Amino acid sequence: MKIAILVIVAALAMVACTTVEPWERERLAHDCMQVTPDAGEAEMRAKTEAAREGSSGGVSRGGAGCGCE
Amino acid sequence: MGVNSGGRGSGVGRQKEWGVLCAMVILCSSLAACPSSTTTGADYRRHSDPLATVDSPRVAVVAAGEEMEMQGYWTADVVTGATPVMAAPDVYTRATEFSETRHEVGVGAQWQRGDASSPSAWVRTSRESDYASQAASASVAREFRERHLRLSATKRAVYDRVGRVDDPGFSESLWSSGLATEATYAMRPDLVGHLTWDVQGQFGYQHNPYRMVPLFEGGVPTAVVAERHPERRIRHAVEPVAIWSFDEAWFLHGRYRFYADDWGVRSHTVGAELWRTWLDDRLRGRLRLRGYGQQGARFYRARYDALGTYRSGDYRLSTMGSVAAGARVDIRPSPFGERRLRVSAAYDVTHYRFVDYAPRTSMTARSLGLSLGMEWER
Repeated sequence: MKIAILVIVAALAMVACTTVEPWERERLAHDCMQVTPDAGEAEMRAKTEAAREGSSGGVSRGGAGCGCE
Repeated sequence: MGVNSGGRGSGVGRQKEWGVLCAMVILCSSLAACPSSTTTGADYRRHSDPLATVDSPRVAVVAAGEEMEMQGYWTADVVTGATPVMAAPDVYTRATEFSETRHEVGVGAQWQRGDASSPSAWVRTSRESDYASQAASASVAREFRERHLRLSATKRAVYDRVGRVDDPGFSESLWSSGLATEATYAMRPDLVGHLTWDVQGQFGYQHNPYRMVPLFEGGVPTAVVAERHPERRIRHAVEPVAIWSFDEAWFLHGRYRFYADDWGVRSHTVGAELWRTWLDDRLRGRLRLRGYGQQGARFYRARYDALGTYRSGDYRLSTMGSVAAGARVDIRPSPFGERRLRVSAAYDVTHYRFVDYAPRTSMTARSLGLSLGMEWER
């Protein structure tokens, strides 16, 4: 059921999409339109979240840097 | 691992530094061989909470050619803090100061091929007095539908060696393997949708070798035993992201992440970032909000009354939540010659709440980030 809902939502999203012409892509190319505008900051923050929460990270990033209690 | 590190007594501490050397050789040769533009960046981040203070410098170099881009970085975590000692049943009453430094080096390369595909590969090595980690990843990305859709897949593998600073003979291993698939879709000239699905498996030693768990009898602590976690953990995460530019100067990121693993941990994360640019993009500001809620692992207990198969004293496996808010400012002065400069500062505050963690019910963390970057053309 959940998968069906996801598929329907994805299909509706695709229908709602328009064709983006090359001359309309200037804003899409802006740093702030990237999923991670600053990869270095995102990586350092993810490291902190992985050290303080149980579901962040996953693949090991080394032992410390965490100050684990 | 977060304890006293008086020396490099473990087998891990004596590991050869071949990984670091190889990384530096590859980085240097790439810098000499290919770049038409080079970006260097130096970052510093300080995270401080009641458990520890972590100072993290980071230096990164990106050398980009027409068909190939090489990246390399070095980072360190200088951790200082105090860890409760459970050498006796009356736990949480003593703490030992610790200080530890972890170094990490990574290099990566990405190729841009004419068929709109871009393979890439990374290797990383990390070491500290009682822990060493070697990681490699390879990914491929390809664009479809006249560059509206970008699909990518990344395979990662990590091998860790876990040691103890007070026991040179102690050495355990942990294998991790993961696959992340991502889809990014340009839905409109001002809207991007992104979806990530991440599955990871970890196999091997996943306890903290220093952490002890108290056992209670009739409400009284009677003994402490070593922490014990399952040696297999399969983790799944799904994260949809939407990025909307509702004006040429305003950008809004919204994201949600659902996580589940076979230890019983479930979590929901919601986040939003609002970016604003001024002065022809020479000044940027950002506000960030994040909310996190987590259901604890099946075997986690605030108090253990019987010696079961598994027990944990790790608050990260308890039921908990956090709320974070922060701000960031970027300054990008006008280019001078072929060089462009970027300076940024960020400050975040995170408040954690613990539902069933005996030593504390809440804590507040503060993070300061400073960054300096320069890009120049050759």
